[in-house]
This record gives sequence, C-alpha cells and structure tokens, in this order.
Amino acid sequence: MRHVIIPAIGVALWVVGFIVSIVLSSANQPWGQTLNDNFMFARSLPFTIGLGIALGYARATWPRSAAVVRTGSVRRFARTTVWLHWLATLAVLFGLATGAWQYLKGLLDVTSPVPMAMVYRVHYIAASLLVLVIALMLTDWWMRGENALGVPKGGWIRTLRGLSHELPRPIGGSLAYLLGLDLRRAAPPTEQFTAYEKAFSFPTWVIALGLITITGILKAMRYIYPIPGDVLYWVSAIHVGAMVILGLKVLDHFRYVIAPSRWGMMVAMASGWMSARYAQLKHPGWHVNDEPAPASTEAPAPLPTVGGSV
Amino acid sequence: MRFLVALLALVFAILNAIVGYLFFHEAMTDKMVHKGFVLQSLPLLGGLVLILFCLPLLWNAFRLVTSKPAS
Repeated sequence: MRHVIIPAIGVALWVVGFIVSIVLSSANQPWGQTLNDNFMFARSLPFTIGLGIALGYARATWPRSAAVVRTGSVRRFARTTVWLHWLATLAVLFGLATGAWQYLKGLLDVTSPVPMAMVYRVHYIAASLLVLVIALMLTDWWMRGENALGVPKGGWIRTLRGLSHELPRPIGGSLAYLLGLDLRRAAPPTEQFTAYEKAFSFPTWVIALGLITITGILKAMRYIYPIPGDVLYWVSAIHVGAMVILGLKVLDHFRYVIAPSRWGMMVAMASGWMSARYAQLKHPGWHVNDEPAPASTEAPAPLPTVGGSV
Repeated sequence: MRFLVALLALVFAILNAIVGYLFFHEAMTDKMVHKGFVLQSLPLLGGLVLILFCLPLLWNAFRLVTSKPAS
C-alpha cells in the first residue's frame, strides 16, 4: 500500500506548494514576470525533487506484473523507462533551445523577436521536468540496485577493451595504445548495453546532466539566497559550458543510435522491444533466448525468458 | 519511420550548426576579446566543436536513408 500512499503524498505536497507559490506571487509584488517566474521555479524545486523521489519510490516498489513475452522479440526497456527517456529528451531539447536563445541574445546584443520572459518561462518549465525525471530515475535505480548501464566492479579493463574494438580503428587503436590494452584479444561479447554506452556515453551523460542541474539550481536560488559575485561568475560559466557539452552529447547520442547497424537500438527506445535476432547478433553476451512464446503473440508468462530490461 | 528520424536529424544538425557558427562568429568580435579567456573560449571552442559534431550525424542520417538498417 505504501507504493500508492507515498506518491499520493508527493503529488499532494507538490500541488499545495504550487498553490502557495501562486498565491505568494499574485500578491502585489514589485518585480516583473521573469523575476517572478524565477522565484516560482526556485520555490517549487524542493517540491519537484520530493515528487520525483516519491514517484521513484513508487516505481521501484510497485508490484511487478507477469512478464510479457513476444515471439521473436526481447524487452530492452520497460515501458515507463521509454516514457521517462522521451520526457527527459523533451526537457533537454527545450532547455537547450531556450538556454542557447538567452545566451545568443546576450552575445549578439540584439532584440529578441520572442518575448524573453516567455523564453525564460519555458526554460524553467523544461528545467523542472528534467529535475523531476532525474530525481525519479535516481531514486528508482538506487532502490532497485539497477546498474545495467554502469561498468561492473572489476570490469573496466574488459569494457575499455570492448570500447577500443567498437570505436573506429584509428581512435580505438590509439585508446588501446594509451591504456595498454591488448587488441589482439577478441572483443568481449556485448551485453545488454554496448561498451560505448557503458564506458563513455552514460558517464558523460551523468557528468553533463549533473553539472547543468547543480549550476542551474544555484543560479535559480541566487535571488533567495545571495551568492557571492565570484562564485556566481563561475557557476554561470560552468552552466554555459555544461549547455555546450549537453548539446554535443545530444548530437553524439543521436549519431550513435541512428547508424544503420544500430537501428535496432533506436526501435527499442521507441517501443521498448528489440528483435531477438538483432539482440543475438549484436548483443551476444545478453543471454537472449529466442524460444517462441506460448500460443499468442503477446501472452503473460510466469518467468521472464529473456534478458532483463532497465 | 527511419525517413522521419533522418529528417529530424538533418534539421537538428542544421540548427546546431547555425548556433555553432553564431557562437564562433561572435567569439571573434572585439567585444568578446576583451572579456577574458574563459568567456571567450566557451563560444569559440563550443561553436567550433558543435559544427564538427554535426558532420557525423549528417553522415549517419544520409546512410540511414540510403542503406538497409539492421533491426
């Protein structure tokens, strides 16, 4: 029952916090829309983080229904993971677009054709959504001990060797030479996630999202808790730097998954499912079992017969 | 669906390249030169790398529509 009560309390607290914030901001205040939105965003952050933690708790403790088996397919991502991924994508894209707009307006020193107050408002909404998804996923993964995207303990050399094999030869060869890896040995079989995803892509997502979130929260709080000018200078510089890194990450991630040889991964992130044939071919270390499912094409089974999903 | 994804990739890459060009171009102006290394290097290097990172995305979008994807 706690998996229902805790998120319900989280939602109720968020609604109460939102209403209180609206009431406070609708009083006769001297500041304009942008500063008012900043206060709203800063005040709502503890409630948004709390809601994310509550929903993450619910996701981790929600009773698992019987696994669904599809003939010739394997589940790579849970349905909620797919939704959360696309929500985070939306938040990152809107955050990047509005962030770049703000930065370019200052850089080019021109009048914006779109009201800047609206640009900031969308930026704060996108940031709230991103903070919510991050809090939710962190809580869920921490509670379930989920680490499929991480490098296992003692597995760095093996994963880096896999990465060196996966990268284009000049880059992979140089990396192997620098790290003293033996590329004459065959690449370790790819598991649910590729060596590139585990050793490079996921860690850099964590760094970029961590930097932009922490610096963004500090910037948002500066009118409530004054921050020294020097600190604010570096916080702002790191926020812009993290924006550029995040932009590069999106470009690189998009490039990686739309390569024709990895199209199965793109399909998996749209539907949650990957064809078993593709999984056996490209992810041989994932212990995928391609046995046909009983009777119907989508029937509940007592135990999962394929590799786990995140 | 892959044509739609390739189109989105194309649009995304072009928009990023424009932003990268604006970053790079403005970083070379007198105004930015006098703002110090940190404030100038962000748009300078960021703009350049943004443009460079668009190229493999464009290449993969092209390959996606011209070859049969594995799925």
